[in-house]
This record gives sequence, structure tokens and C-alpha cells, in this order.
Amino acid sequence: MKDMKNHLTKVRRGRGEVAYGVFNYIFFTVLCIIMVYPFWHVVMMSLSSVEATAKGGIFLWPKGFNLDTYAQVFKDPSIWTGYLTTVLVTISGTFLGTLFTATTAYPLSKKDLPFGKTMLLLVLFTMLFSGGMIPGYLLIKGLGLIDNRWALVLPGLVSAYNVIIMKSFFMTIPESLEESAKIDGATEVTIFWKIVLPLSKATIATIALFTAVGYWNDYFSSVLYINTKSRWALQAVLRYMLTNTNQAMQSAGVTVASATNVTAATIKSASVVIATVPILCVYPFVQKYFVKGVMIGGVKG
Amino acid sequence: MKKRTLALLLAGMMTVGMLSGCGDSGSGDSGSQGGQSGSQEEQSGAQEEQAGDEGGNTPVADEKIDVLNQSETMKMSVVCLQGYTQPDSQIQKWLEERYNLDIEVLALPGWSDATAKITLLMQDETQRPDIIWWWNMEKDYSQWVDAGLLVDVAPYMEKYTNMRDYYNSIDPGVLFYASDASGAIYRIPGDVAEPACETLWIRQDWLDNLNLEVPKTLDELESVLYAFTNDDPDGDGQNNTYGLGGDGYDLRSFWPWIQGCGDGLGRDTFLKMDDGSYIYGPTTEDCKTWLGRVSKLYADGVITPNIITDTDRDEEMANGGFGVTYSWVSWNNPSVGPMQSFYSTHPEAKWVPIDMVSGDNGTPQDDPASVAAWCYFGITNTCSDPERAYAIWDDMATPENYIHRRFGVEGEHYKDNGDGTYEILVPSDGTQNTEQNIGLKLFQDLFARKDFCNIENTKSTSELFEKVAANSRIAYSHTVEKKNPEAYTVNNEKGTDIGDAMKEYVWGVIGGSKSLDDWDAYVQQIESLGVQDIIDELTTLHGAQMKEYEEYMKNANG
Amino acid sequence: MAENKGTKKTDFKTRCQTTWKDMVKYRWLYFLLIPGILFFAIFKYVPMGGLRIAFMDYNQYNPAKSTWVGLDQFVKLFSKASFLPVLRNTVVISLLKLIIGFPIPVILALMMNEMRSLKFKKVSQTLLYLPHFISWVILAGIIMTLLDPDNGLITQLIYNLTGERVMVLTSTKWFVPMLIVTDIYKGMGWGTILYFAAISGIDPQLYEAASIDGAGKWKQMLNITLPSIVPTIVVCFIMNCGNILNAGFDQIFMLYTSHVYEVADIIDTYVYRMGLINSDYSFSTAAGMFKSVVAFILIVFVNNVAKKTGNEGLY
Repeated sequence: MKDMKNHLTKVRRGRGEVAYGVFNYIFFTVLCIIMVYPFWHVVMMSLSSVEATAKGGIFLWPKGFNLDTYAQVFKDPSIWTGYLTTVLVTISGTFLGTLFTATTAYPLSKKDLPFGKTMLLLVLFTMLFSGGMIPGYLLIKGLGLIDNRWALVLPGLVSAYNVIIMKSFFMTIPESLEESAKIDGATEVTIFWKIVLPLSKATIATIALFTAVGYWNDYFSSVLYINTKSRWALQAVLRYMLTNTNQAMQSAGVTVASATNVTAATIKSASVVIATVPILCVYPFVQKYFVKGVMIGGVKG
Repeated sequence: MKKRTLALLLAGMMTVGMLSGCGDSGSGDSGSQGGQSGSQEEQSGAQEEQAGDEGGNTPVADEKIDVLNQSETMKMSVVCLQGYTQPDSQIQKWLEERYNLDIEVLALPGWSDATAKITLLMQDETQRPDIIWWWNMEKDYSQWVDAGLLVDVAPYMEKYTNMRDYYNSIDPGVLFYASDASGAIYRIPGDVAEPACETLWIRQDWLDNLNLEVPKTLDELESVLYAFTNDDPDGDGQNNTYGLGGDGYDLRSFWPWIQGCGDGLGRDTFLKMDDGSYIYGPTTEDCKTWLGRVSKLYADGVITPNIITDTDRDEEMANGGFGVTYSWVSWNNPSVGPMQSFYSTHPEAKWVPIDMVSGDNGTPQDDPASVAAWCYFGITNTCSDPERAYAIWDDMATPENYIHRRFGVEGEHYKDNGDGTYEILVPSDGTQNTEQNIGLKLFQDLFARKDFCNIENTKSTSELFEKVAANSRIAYSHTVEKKNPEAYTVNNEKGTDIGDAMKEYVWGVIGGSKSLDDWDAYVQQIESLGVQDIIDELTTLHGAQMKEYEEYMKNANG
Repeated sequence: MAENKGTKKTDFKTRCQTTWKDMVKYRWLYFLLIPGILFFAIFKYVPMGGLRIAFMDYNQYNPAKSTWVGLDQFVKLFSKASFLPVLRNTVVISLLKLIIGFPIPVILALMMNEMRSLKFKKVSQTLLYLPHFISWVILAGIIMTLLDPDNGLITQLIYNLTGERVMVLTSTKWFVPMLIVTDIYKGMGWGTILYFAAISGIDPQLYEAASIDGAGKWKQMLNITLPSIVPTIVVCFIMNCGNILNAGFDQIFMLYTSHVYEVADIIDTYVYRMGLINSDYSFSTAAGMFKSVVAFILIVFVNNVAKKTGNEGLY
């Protein structure tokens, strides 16, 4: 490893490259600042006083700093039950989903598998066509999963998109690696488990990340399949808070008095922070596989 | 490496196991629930048959049910969106004890997804709640009635009269619009707005600073707007104020001009004339007149520029920066959030409600609200005892019980000052309500009283409501209210396109991107989209409905 | 004739036999496929029967009362005066998003790959994907603040640059560019993840060999990195083509008003507004099906083009 690094730095860098390097740093620094802004805005708003945020405007620093909002939000029991549901659903969904995505994608990456192409097309078809809300509901009802947390996990386990992405990554693995194992008499299951999966850490990390974020951000399954509020996922709780205004009524042309309860902007933004930060913390763990993938590829090669 | 993979696997398995544990308990719950509603269903099935035999009328015994002395605990699942939704609140327990109930609160998932959830709950006989709540959804409602999912409560209304009497006291029309052609009532009005909810507000302190009088006519109002914009009413030496402001992308913000130009027929909808004919407001000359005046004001910069974008009304109000607005009467209550925010940063300011300015024809009008309820609730065929459910709800509607459900216990959550005024000690939107799980505002939109029982209103707010109500009757006489919107098929087919074209042009003119010179082309476009067909349909259908309405009102008053 | 038939038969027979042999040979692969097949069959294909709703006047509360109406729902959709303009807006917006937005994550990933400081690389990667987690509800509020005609930061910026007070949210000229920019903004960081995964799979020996040959960083990027991630780029591109009629409902719905219907009203927003007056489950299913059919045709077409030009494609 050290050797390689030394080797790379030994290469002489031309003037253009140095200039480009500097440009790169400046470019990404500016870009990062722009990208962070909305999140920063939300965080600062959540730390501000209710009166100041009602006025709206730009938030670079909190106006009337306080932590009351967080204290208040955490006293709402539905945030905690939401966390519980979301964490359980995300972990189990990601684990099972990634596993099944891989077991589906690997056989389909074999070009000479009989009916492989047909199956791939059938998978692709589900990316574009779906039965819709009510047939989906009837299925879950038929499985006896209404108001059960499994209804939040199962329908989203494997997506056609992820299968196709994973399949195309598997196709880049050199055949020769698998051939040698086959000569040793290993079955495809062993090859898949012992050779293909370890070689595809970056891919698995990516798909796991996509799946996890998908589960984490999913609110509509709760809307469809869960009736008891204490079993809602966090995002459903959050969305209930966010859209709890009379806007929908107004757009439907209904006159209503203003006595609707409008959640203060601070509470809204605090809930966004609370719902987003945990999933953000996952990324650094996934990220290391992108960097590590290089090394392992090198060792094996 | 291997050990870690193994550990990861194990961890994954464990969470899956945990989930299934929870899921099991969950499925156990829903299983028992399913079983129960299954038995309920049998009963309701029998009931349905009965209803069929009797030609849609639910047979009712003469004897009243004494809801306070029932030995059998009744299960009752209730759907609600706004208000308090945490389970097992103090108010819920109070209701459960009082009526021997076992209440399950089914919270809807917020405005944008509520319709989908209501659809799913209603189409699934195992999950259908005992009390359903909804708004709009006219087509679904007629399908529910058609499929026998809702119970006719008209016979119950004869026996248990609190809710009926309240609605008849505000306007007998409320129940007319809730009933169907045969007189059956499958939907109970959930919330009916005050007859008018908005009033003209002005910054008294700005008027005083500039030595101006309260405007009485539309012309005077306009000159005040110019003064507020150009003469530095807040005296900070900066050109940072506007005349008119308010809710963005809502034509009601321009109500003073809409009601004041011509005969006030330039409203953004279909209108009924005194001779029984119908017109489309946005193509009248009145509309052209007010558009001309408002667009000039906008171009001259006396209206906040973002009024043509979809801003948040509360945020605009809290922000301030303008001196006139047409907005909620209830902002007169000191407890209202946006006003508190505004005053916290503008302690010197003073908003006061003023009389509507008079325009061309000298009869100033406030914006009338609909007499028909904006939301309804109904008892479904899965309810084990619909009559008892209705009787309970009717008992909950008495002033005393309503105030308890809505505002809590006297001395603890609110204070009776003894002179007809009250002081709210624990606001229902506050944190204390959730923290202590009190449950104020439980079932908020499943029967709400806007009379003296709404003790949140101060004395002056109540008077203001009465004033704008009285001051909106001429305008209301033109309002088209539909008893059965689903029946207006032409409107339902062409209405969206006409409304879109209207909004595009009207807002375009206000913002200055479209010109009043193209008025004739615009009117032609609206006509080509079939506005006359809708008017013809209104003449037939709505004309017939109005005859029915007059008959009904004669009976109600006689 | 008879002979011909005979040979065909044996052809078929032998083909069947070889297929069977292959299937036996790959039995373990089929074993791996079992959970996937079960999943797609149960959770995707069982509810798929619901597509028939598009050809019905469906009554979800009393399915027995539903009637078959053939293509009526589609005719209703196509015969709307607004259908063509709305379709055009949808295609224009999503095409612009695709053409302008698609290459950006690729470029970003390549640029970031050239960064020497591992720490900086990691931090900037993490920060770039933050906007992906802010929902359109929240983002729309922030966008409206930034574009406020009075004191919005971006309005000021445009004013200082052009001397013009632009109201982006109500301008038919600026609204669509705003949609494109904010969409790219929200998605570009997240979009790089796939390419990072692809880049991390490249054999480092290739770079070593190239640098020994004296190839500079630029050349290495063009000759090694880029070609190595082309398969991923192609796959992503084909799949993004499937979104041709999804111009972004949430984003547009949160930001649009009648001022910009002319350019920004898309199929989804139009169907939504139709549903406000008269909710019609069959009609919206038909509209969704129309979108899916177009997307399917386009994906098949683009996939064929990709294969003809020597790429792997989706299938």
C-alpha cells in the first residue's frame, strides 16, 4: 500500500496539473458551501425563537437562539415511536433487500443463463408499470399485513432499478476469477458467496445505501398500510406535521376560518433535522468501501 | 474480516427478528380487530338488508337511548385529521367513562395524503372505521351512499336534537345541503364556517402618523394605499412600506375592489342573479373594472410584489411591511400566533378592523362564506350500534359538553370571568396540551360550534363576526352552492380548464404580463372552452335545487 | 415439406435438450433466483392486475358495479384541449433535466476523483449529497425566500448583474430554468455515488502502467477512468430515459402558479387539478399507464441504440 502511494506521488506534476488542482479545491469549496446552505438554513431556523422564524427571511445564524424547540419536539411521543419503526424497518429492509437484490442480480448477470433475458425484461417491466394504490393495498390485506410493520418492509425489498445496477456491476467482474473456482468444483452459490460478494463491496455498499435511504425516506407506505399512529414511520409523522396547514383546503376552494393549527416553523425545521441527521451519519461508514474497493481490487488482481 | 461479516449478518438477523416480534404483536392486534369488525360486519349486513326493505330509512324505536347508562362497552373507531390525535388523552378517557366507550382515534396522515387514506379505509370492510370524516370527495361520497356504507341519521336527528338545533340556529340551509334528495342524511356537517370570516384591516398607527382619516370609499382607500407607500408612514426615512399586502395568489386579497367595482359581480366563480339566471363572474365588465384598478395599483408598486406568488398568509402577516389587508376576523383575538409574532417585533403597531369601503353602487359587502359545511362525518355500516353512536355525539354537542371537549375543565384549562367572557389558560395548540396528554381539540372537525361556545373569541371578535356576517348577505345572495356537486357533470368535465384559463389571464393582468387590451380574446377563449354549457347546466340543475331549497326553508321557518 | 418439418422438429428438440442441459448446469443460479422471483411475482405481478382499472369506470367501494369502458379514459385524456401543451411541457422539462442534468454527476465524480487530499474528498462528498435529503416541501420554502421580489438574495444578485428586477416564480421565461437548476442542485451530489462505486472498481495497476508510460493525470482520466465507467453511465442514461414523462410533480407542484401554466404545467399537475374537482381513480390510472407505455417504448429504443453502438445495455 505504502509503495503504491509513494509511487503515485513520485510522478512529476506538470504546471497545468497544479493549476487544475488549485482550481479543483476552490471549485469544490464553493460548491460545498452552496450545497450546505439549505440544510444550514433549516438547522439555524430550528435553533431560533418562534417569533423570529414566523417572519421568514434569510437564516445564516439563529435569531434568538434557544433549544426549546428540540425539547418540545422530543416530548411528542409520536417522534419516538416513529424512530423505532423507521430504525427497525430500515435495518431489516436494508439487510434483506440488499441480500435479495444481489441474489437476483447475480444469476441475471450470466449471459448464457436460459430465460435470463426474459426474466430481466420482466424485472425491468416492473420499473415502469405498477398496479396502483388499491391493488397494492388488497395484496397487503390478503397477506394479513395491514397495520403491521412488515407491510413497510416487504413491498420495497427489491427494486428493478437496483437489480439492474447491480447486475451491470457484476458483469464487470472478470470471468477468469470465477472459472478457476469452478475448476476446483465449487458451486455457483459458493462462488457467489466467497468470490463475487467480497469483490463487490463498493457495489453492495451503494445498493445498501440506496435501499436504506429509500426505507428511511418512505412515508407513503405508512399512509397506505398503517392505521395506528404509534406504528407510523418517522417520515409519516414528519409529513403530518409539515403539511398540517389549511393549504389543501384553500386550493380546493373552501373558505375556512384561520383557526387551523399551524405548526410553528421552528418545530417543522427541528423535525427535519431530527429526521435527517441519523441517516446522514450512515454515509461515512459506507464511504470507506468506495475508497477501500480500490485496494482490494489491487490485491486480488 | 470473516468475523465481522458474521457479526454483521447476526446483527441483521436480530433486527429482523425484532421486527417480526413487533410485527407479531401488531398482527395480533389487527387480527383481533379484524375479528371484531367481522362480527360488526355481520350485524351491519343485517342492518343493510333491513335498510333495503324499508326503502333507505333506518327503522328507529320510539324510545331514546340513555347514553349515560349503558352497561355494554361500545367499541368506536373515529377518523380525524385536525386537532388532537394522540391516544388515551384525558378528554378521551372522560368520554370513554361518560358513555362507556372504547375509543380508537384513527389519525389521517396530513392534508395531502388524507384522501388516499380515507379511500382505502372505506373500501376495506375489515378496516372501515365506525365514524368516518372527510372533506370534498363528492364522487366517493355518492359511491359510499350507493354501496350502503353510510347510515342515514335523519331519523336519529328527530330524536336527538342538539346538533340539529345548533345547525338550524345558524342557518337551516346547513342541513339542506347535507341531506340527499329523499331527505335522508348520510353526512353530518362537521364544521360550518361563520357566515363571513374576513374583514378589512388597517394600520391605525400609520394613519395617525400621516394624519389620515379612516377610508370610507374605494377611492379614499386607494389614496391611503399611495400615502402608505410613498409618505414613509413608519417614519424610518426609508422607502420600505407598501399599501396593500396579504395572502399571495389568492384573489380574496383584492376583495375590496371585487365587491366595490360595478355591482360586485366580478368574483372568480359562477354567480346566481336575482332573476334566476346564472353568469360567470370573471367575464363580466365588473371584473374588467376591478382588474384595471388593481393592476394599476400593482404596477405603481403600492401592493407587495409577492402577492402574485403563492406566499403563506400567516408569514406575510407576521412579517408586516404593509398597511392594509383583507384577512381573518379571528386575528382580532390576542392569542393568535401570527399577530403575536408581528407585535413582538412591531410593538408600536396597531392593526384595527374597519368597515368595508363602499364602491360604485354604495353597498359595501364582505366576502360571504359557504353555508354548506366544508367537511362532514358519517356513521358507517360497520358501527355496531349507529343510533347509540349518534346519540353519544348529540350529547357531546350540548354547550356544556362541547366546551369541556374543546376547552377542557373550568378553572384548570380556562377561566370563566363571569361576565360572559373567558380566559384561555391552556391553549390547545400549546405544548402543555401534548405534554400532559390533555386532549383539547379532540375530534376538532367532527362537530364544531361557532356560537357563544367558541369561548376563544373575545367579545369584540364575536361582535366583529356578527357585523361582517350581516354585511355580506347581498353578496351571498349571488353565491352558488351545490347540494350535490357530483351531479354537475358538465362542470366537472370542463370546469378545470375554464378555471385554469381564467387564473392564467386574471393573475397575468394583475402581475402585468398580460394586458386588459386582450380582454375580448380572453372572454372568447373562456366561451370556446364551454362556459355556456356550464351555465345551461346550472340553470337546469341549480335552478331546480333552488326551488327545492325555497320549499325546504319555508318548512324550516314555518 | 415433410422433411423440412422433420428437421425443424429435431431442431426444436435438440434446442430444448441443450436448454435443459444448461438449466441443469446452472441449477444453483436458479436456486439463488428463488427469493427474487417470489418477490417480483407476489409484490409486483399480483397487483399488476390493477392496470385493468384504466379500461374501466372503476368503483372501488363496490367493485361489482364497475363497468368496462374500453379506451374511454384514454380518449378523455387525449381529447383535452390542454393535453398537447401539457405533454409538450412535460417532455421539454424532463428532456432539459436529462440533457443538462445527466452529465453533471459524471463530471463531478471525475473531478473529485482527481483530488489529492483524501480528507477533503471525503468531506466534500458528504456535503454534496446533503440537498438530496431536504424534501421539496422544505426546499420550496427556501427557494421562495431566496427569490422574494423584495429582498430575496438571488433577486438582488440578478438585479446587480442585469439591472432588472426579475420575478422568477411568475416569469414564463425564468421559471423552467429555475426548475432545471434546482433539480440539478438537489440531485447532483447524490448522483455521483454510483460513479464513485464504479471508479473504485477500477484496477489500480492500470493507472500505474499508464503513469510509467508517462501519461499525465488528464490522459489517465480520459483513457482509463472514463472508459471504465462508461457501462455505468450507459445503464444510468437508459434508465433515466424512462423518466421522460416524469418531470417532477413534487417540485413543480410546490412552486408553480397560474402565471407559469403555459410552460410548467405537466401531466401530473394537470391530472391532479382535474382530480380536485372530480376525483377519478380510473382516469389517473389511465394517465399513469400512458406515461409508462411511452417510457417503456423509449427505454427499449434507447437500449437498442446502445447495443448497436457496442454497449452492454440493460438486457
